[in-house]
This record gives sequence, C-alpha cells and structure tokens, in this order.
Amino acid sequence: MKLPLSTKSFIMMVIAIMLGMVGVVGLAARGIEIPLVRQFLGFILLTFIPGLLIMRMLKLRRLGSTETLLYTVGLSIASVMVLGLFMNAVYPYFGISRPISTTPLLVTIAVFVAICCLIIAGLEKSRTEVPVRKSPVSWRRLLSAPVLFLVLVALLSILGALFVYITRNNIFVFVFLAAAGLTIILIVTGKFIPRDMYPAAVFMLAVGLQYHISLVSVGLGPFDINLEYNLQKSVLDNAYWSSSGSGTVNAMLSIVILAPIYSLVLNTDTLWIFKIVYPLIFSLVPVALYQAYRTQVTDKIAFCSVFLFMSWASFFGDSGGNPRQAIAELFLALSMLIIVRKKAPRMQIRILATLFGLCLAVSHYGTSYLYMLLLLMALPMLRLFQLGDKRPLRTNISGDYVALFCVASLSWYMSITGGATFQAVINIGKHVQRTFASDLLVVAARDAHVVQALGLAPMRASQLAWDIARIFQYITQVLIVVGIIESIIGWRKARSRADYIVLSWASMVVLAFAIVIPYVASAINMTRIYHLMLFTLAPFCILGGMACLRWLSLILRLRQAISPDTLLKPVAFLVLIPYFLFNTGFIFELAGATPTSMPLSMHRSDWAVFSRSEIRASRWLAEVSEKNFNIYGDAYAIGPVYQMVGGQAKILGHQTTMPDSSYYVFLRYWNIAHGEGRWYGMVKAQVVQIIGRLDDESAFAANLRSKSLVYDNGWARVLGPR
Amino acid sequence: MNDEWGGIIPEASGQMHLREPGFNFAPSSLRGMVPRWWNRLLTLFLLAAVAVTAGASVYFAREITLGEHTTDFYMLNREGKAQNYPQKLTPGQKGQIMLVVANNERETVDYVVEVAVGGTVLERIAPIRLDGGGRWVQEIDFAFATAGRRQKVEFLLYKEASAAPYRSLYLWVDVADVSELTGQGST
Repeated sequence: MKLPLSTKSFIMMVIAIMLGMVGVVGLAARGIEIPLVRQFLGFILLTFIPGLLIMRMLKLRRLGSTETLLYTVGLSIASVMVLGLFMNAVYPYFGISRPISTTPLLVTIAVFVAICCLIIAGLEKSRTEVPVRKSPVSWRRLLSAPVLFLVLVALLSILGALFVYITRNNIFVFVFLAAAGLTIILIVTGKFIPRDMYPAAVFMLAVGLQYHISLVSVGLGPFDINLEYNLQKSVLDNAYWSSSGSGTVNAMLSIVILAPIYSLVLNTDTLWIFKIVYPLIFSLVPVALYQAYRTQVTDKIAFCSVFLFMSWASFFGDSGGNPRQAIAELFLALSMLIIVRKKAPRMQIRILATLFGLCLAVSHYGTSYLYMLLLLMALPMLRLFQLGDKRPLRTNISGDYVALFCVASLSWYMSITGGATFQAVINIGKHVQRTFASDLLVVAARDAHVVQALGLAPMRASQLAWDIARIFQYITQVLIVVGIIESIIGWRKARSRADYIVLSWASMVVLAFAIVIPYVASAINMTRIYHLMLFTLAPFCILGGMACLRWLSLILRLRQAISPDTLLKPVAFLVLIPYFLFNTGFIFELAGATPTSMPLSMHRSDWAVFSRSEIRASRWLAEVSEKNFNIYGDAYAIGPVYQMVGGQAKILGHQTTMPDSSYYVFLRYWNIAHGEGRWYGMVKAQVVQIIGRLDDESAFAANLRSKSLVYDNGWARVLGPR
Repeated sequence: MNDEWGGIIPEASGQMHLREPGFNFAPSSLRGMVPRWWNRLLTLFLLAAVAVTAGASVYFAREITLGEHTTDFYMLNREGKAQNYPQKLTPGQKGQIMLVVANNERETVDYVVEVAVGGTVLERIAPIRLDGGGRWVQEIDFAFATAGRRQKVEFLLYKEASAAPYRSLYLWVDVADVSELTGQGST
C-alpha cells in the first residue's frame, strides 16, 4: 500500500477480488462452501476496496501508509453505508422489495466498483506511470524481532481469552497484559521497537485489548448491544430497513445498514461481526489518534498519550457493548485527524471532513451530539487566536463546516424514526432544566462514576487496591488539568496548532459541565464522556506530567537542562503503567480485590459471559415460544433472548409484577449453579445492581418453583409457560 | 511535527523513513546494539512463540466452535411448540407431548428415558443409542389415575448406566374430576 500501483495493475487487482467474491458466492449457491475464503474476501471487499477506489479518484497520494490505511477504511465504511442506504431507498421503486439481500448487494457493489474503475482509468489516462519500486514489506522485515513481538502481543490476548473460556484459567491474559506493559517500556526507552513501527504497535495493542474481552464469550455483552443485534436482525429478516421504526438506535446506519451488509457478504452471524470485525475496525481509532497527536507532540509522547487513551476502561470495556459507538468513534477520530493535519490539499480535506462528519452523525447520536458541542465551543475560542493579530489564522474548523455538520445531523435525527433521536436529547435537556435548581447539590443526582471520580463515594469497593486506583485516577486528571493550564498560559505560541488546542479546551469545558450539572453525565454515561474527551485531552496528561517534572527540576535547581525524553520516562513508568494495570484489572486480580476484568476474574465472579449451549437454548426458546407470552431472565440472561425476540424479553426481578402463569423464564448457567440472579434498580441517577436469590423461601422464588421445566441442557434451563 | 523533541533511536541500517512512519516494517533496531547471534536467537524464540500461540489459539477456537460436551433434553407439544402443553387433564385421560434428546456430546451415547408420575415409573424406553450430533424425537403418552391439583409428571434422562438421572424435566398438571369440570363437584 505504500507505493501506488500502476493504474492497470490496480484495476486488475480490484477486479480480481470482485470476481473472486462473485465466484465464491456462486459456488456457495451451488452448495460448495470453502471455509474462511468468503469471509476473507468479503472483509477485504467491504473494508478496503471502496476506500482505495475513492482515494485514487480524489488523487490522495503520498499520505504515508498509516494515513492511507486509515482513510481507506473510513471511506470504505462510509461507502458501504451510503450504498446500503441508496439501495434501501431506491430499489423498492424498481420492484426489488428485498434490497438488503445478497444478490442485490453484490450486483450494486460490482457496479460501483466498475464505475470507479472506469473513472480512474479515465483520470489516469494521461498520467505518466511511476515506475513501481520493490515493495518495502519483505519477508525479512516481517520476520524481524520487533514485528514478531508485536504480533505475539496481539496473539497472546486471543489465546488468553479463548483459554479462559475453556478452562477458566487466566494465565495467558496476565501474560498478555504484562506484554502490553512491556511494550510501552520498550517504546519509551527506545530500545527495541523502531519509531516507524509505533503505529503498528498501537494497532496491535488495540487489537489485543479489544479481543481479550470480546473473545472471552460466544455471546454478546449486556446492555445496548442486544438491542442493536435485534434491530439489525429485523433488517436481515425483512431484507429491508424501515426508517419509520421506533427507537433511537434504529436511526443509526452503523447498526441497521452496515452490520447486515457485513453479515450477508461474509455469510456470518452478526454476532461474530460484532465480536471480530467491529473490534478490528475500532482498533484503528487509536492509530488515527496517534497520527493526530503526532502533529502536536513527538512520536514517543504521542504513543504514551494513545496508551493512556487505551488504558481507560471504556476503550476495551464499553466498546464491545456498543458497536455503533465503535464505528462513530472511527469517524470522530478521522475527522479530528483531518482537522489537525495541515498537509493535504484543502479541497480534499473538505470532502473528507464533510463525509466523515456526516457518517459520524448517522453512526451514533451520543458521540455526534458531543462532537457538535465541541465544534460549537471551538468556533468562538478560535476568535481568541485572532485577537490582536492581523495574520490570517489557518484553520480547518470553519463556520461552514460546523453549520453543515449541525444541520445535517439534526435534520437526520428529526426526520428518521419519527424524530426519536432528536427527542432523546430534548428529554435530557428538559430533565436537566427541571432538576437543575432542586438537585444541584445532591450527590445522588450525579452519575455513579462522576461521584466515584470526585471521591464522594467509595469507588465500587473500599479496599486498599481500589484506594490506590483512585489515587492514580486523580493523578491523571490533575496532570490533564496542569497540561491544559500550561497550554492556556502559552496559547500565543500555539497559534499554528490552534485547531487542536481549541478542541481540547472545549473538551475540558464539556467534562466540567458533566460533573457540575445534574443528570447530564448519567444521560450519556460518564465513563463514555471521559473516554471521548480523552480523544483530545490524552496528550495533556503526558505534557502535564512532564511540565511538573520540569518545574520540579527548576525548584531543585538542577543545572543541566533535562531532555524531554528523560522527562517522559518517569511519567510513563510511574503513572501510565500502574494506571494501565489498575484499569485492566491486573492488580485487582492479583490483590484479590473486587474485580473489574471479565477475562481475569471469570473464575470467581459473575459476568455476562455465555457458552454455546446457553446461546443455543436461547435461540431454541425464541423459535418455539408462544409469541404473546413474555420471556423473563435476569439482567444478563435476558441479553441473548432479547437479541432474538426483542420486546418480548423482560428483565426478571423481585420487584417485577409477573403475570399469573403465562410466561417463560430463561435461566443461564450462573443462575442454575449458584441459585442467584441480578437485576437493576435506580436511585435517582445512580443505577444500582441487585443480586438476589432464586432458590430461597420468598414468594418470588416459590413462583419460579411452581413452573414446569421444559428444557435443560446442563448449561441453561427454560421454565414455563405454566 | 516537532521531531526535534523525540528521542533518536539507535538505528544502524539507516533505512527508516523517519518522516513517514507507518506499517513498513523496518529491521530490528537491536542491530548494532547487541551481538548478532543474540538478535537471531531472539528472533527465533519469538518466531517459535508466535507459531505456538497461533496454533494453540486455532485449536481452542475450534474446540469452542464445536461447543460443550452436553445433551439437550426438552419437551414440545404435538405441533412442535413450547406451548399448550397438556396441563389440564381428567383421571385416566391421556396427555401427549413430544420428547427430544439431542446428543451434543461429540460421541455415541446410550440413553435411557423414563416417564414417572408420583415417583412411579410409567414407561421406560431403552436403549436409545445416539451418535454425536444425533437427535431422538418421540411422542410420549402419560395419564394420572387420581384427581388433584398440581400433580407432577417427570421425564428422566439417564446417560449410559448411571443410577442418577442426567437430566430431568417436569410438567405440573391439574387433574380434575369429570364432575368438577361439569361444575357439579363437591368442592
């Protein structure tokens, strides 16, 4: 990818992949399935080909291999969503009532590829062919020690997760996390991994962190992902996306268009698309951030900043439970990268920034509302840089761009799914307005994580390990504030980097708002806000730490000037690595404290982890149950059932008023083996998890015992309907 | 980019593109810092580790796709649905369900199925030999001799020659006198 192929060989390559895909699908139609070939070709076809074609048409060359890869994937996903939307909207008028199915999809992609190839051939007709140099990727390089080490790190996470699933033994997960920690030591000391491999190192660490969670179960996590699965399933069932369907998530093309298309082309259950493909795409987010940071700070500081970003548990914990956000974050990171890089021609910058912005809007409303907020705050802050300075300010955050993004997102949210997505944010606003005066000083009105971060409530558990974890959380936050203050002090010198600086100031303001104003944080989830604000703020933690050390050296009157590299080491070793080990649950597991990591602590506590037998049982129930009867399960068990039957699935709980008899109860392995289940309750803004017995003398448990047992596979049971 | 800040990595080969970092894998920067044999040894060790880790991952992934060694045991009504089970009967009236045993043990297993009412075995079906992946489906009849609310009919599955049931299902059945049904019962 580093060297541009000649027009002819490029077009031949694209056509070969397209024909290969058509051939494999044709064979499958005749009953000949070649395992993994369709998945591999389909992945290449959807994830790279459209982007490569568009890059070529836009004449975007010489961007460096990392950025080429990033924009290629971003443009590909954007194209797939746009093509899917086009098919869904237009084809029914031509009598194709089931547009989102394999044949129309492949034909559309083939036509798209053909048109692009013709345009490229026309555009490059007069271009003199650049002699193609030998590719820099040789076996010798691929088999060099640093590359092997990075590959090993990612593989260890996969092995670790699979090993935990089968044996409940977490040894390889420990080894993976230790290797990840070792990677940053190697990079900061500059000993082993050369600088041009940093993006690859970021990617491998990201993949490892994603897979060590997502591959530990054959089911999907709790929360929204089950709703997302159910929505895309109804698109697959009807081979059509209905934009009038209810609910905010139904407006998100990352779920209702992208996921079904991947599932159809790869001929793979969306469960695995969410568990394997989405995390892989999401792993490019830190790479994009690394590239963005490199425009501001040195490579090593950029790497450390990305490492901090990846250390916050939302990166590997939440993203698996929220695929639409994973796609949205890729577009957010790409938008940021486009905005802060100055080299590309301005016209192309505008096209890419607009496209990525629009895709962000249709991928996840929460993320794009926050981005909107950042942009709206950034505009007046940019005026600050123009005060008393006659020179024009080069900026990519223009009024036009911000206006276009806001208008496009809001009109999408207002028109699709009956405006549910728009109504959602209005409701948050109304709730905040109603409670602002009464709850401003009430701790319970804050999101639980804000409360923990502020130190107003014990962080999950009052154990020594948790107390120390909180200290590290504070340290990183204080360092971010220090870094930001330093940037405010020296703002006049940062004129050339104004775009980045104002986005980070705006992020800081958003964080402050989330903490001060009741209910805001819980409405969009505080850990997620912090995660998104780290997009811009992460480098300030490292810079803040280095600034503190520099001031310390001034106080101690050290004669020699200390190099930035020397300043970076203590920050990485004393702050970053412990922070990473706490957030990944490494230390909690060693100390036997209340666990946070699913793969590390699966042997001793309850997680939303599912075996194949439990998934099989849930699908059996969905198939044979009476559609008018509800299916109850505890907060975790209900997930796989919800994926299949949607609203027919309800969370079981002591407080739930059950109908007299006509309902099913789905019990997962933990419910059976330990006789307990979990459900949620709300106390003001704080979600409280309740663990209750299923086998005691309560009326609730007696109610369960009064039902018939109609299914048992040793891992899951079904009670009912009577 | 402020390259003047970054630490310069010892680089003997001089092939690195400092301004264009990316996925172009450069040779190890260890060259020139440690003896060549050490570097080779490390590369060999890492290569072996990658091969073993990848191989083990493929093995476990395959193991997971095959699923747990288990047997699914369930009941359906005569239409093949998990609804309208015969749960309201009269004494002597036949109730009928479909019983299914699905062998996911990945090996051939001899099963025994028993139908019991009030601890008394009504019917014993043996042996049911199923290969891995095999399914056994059979209509089962049962009846209650006496009237009474909430009587239990049990379906027990034994694996091989074990004394304790491997899986057990049950259905709660209200058995009403005919007189009760016609509204002339004493209670």
